[in-house]
Amino acid sequence: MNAEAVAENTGHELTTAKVGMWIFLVTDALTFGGLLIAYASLRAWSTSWPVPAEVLNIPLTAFNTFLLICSSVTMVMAVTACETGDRQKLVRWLGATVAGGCGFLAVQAYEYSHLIHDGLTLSSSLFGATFYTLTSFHGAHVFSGVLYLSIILGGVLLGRIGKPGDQRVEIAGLFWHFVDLIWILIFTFVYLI
Amino acid sequence: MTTTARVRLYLWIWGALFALTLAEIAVAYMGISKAALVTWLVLLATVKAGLVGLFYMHLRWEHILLGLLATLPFLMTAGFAAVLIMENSR
Repeated sequence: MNAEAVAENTGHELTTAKVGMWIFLVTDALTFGGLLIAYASLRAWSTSWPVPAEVLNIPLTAFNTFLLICSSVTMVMAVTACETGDRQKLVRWLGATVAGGCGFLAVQAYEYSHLIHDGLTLSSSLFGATFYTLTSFHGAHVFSGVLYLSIILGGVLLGRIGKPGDQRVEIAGLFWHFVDLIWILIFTFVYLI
Repeated sequence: MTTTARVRLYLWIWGALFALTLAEIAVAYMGISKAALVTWLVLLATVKAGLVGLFYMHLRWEHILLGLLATLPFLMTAGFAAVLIMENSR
């Protein structure tokens, strides 16, 4: 995006970059949709399926869900700070969002280590296979989001990204909120139902 | 909308997401029938996902076509799931 285009972009304008991110998110959502349907189908047709609440640590995952929701708020605050040209707040909120993402990954790694220790692996059962495929695919998205936001944060610190009208922070935010939105669905369908 | 009003709205949404997540956990441990459990949890998750999409992803203020594009994968997944359920019940 050149400087002239950046200067023209104020508010929530529909630019090629934003539409491009949305098209990517739609295709990514379809992939998650396929994985969720595979999980539901295998569960419905399986003769033995564990009660998720008896195998999985719901309070720990609920904490992780709150962490991701909080990181969505910090992200939206970062977008607002970018729009108002408050660089200090932008750095602070982006840093908090990256920290939230790292925290989520750390809790997920802790959860996995306990589940593997208890005998739930990718090849131990259909439940294990679908559970790890879905949650690790989402975890890979969180990891990508942390990298993406870290690069944006680096650009802000160097003064290259984050001027009022620059949509790159908002577009990165779209990806991060999408990761949060998908987790809301995974938490419900895999952990609670 | 002023920046202060928008920040206030974001914090209200955060509170709503927090409360809805607590409600989901409460419903999951209430010991209600499977059908009621699935209905309530799907409803609560849809409201939460809708709040994130509408307000945090700004779909509330975007062009209607972008909103339609965003709902497409969810409608397609729900349609696919409905076909599978109908096939299974035949």
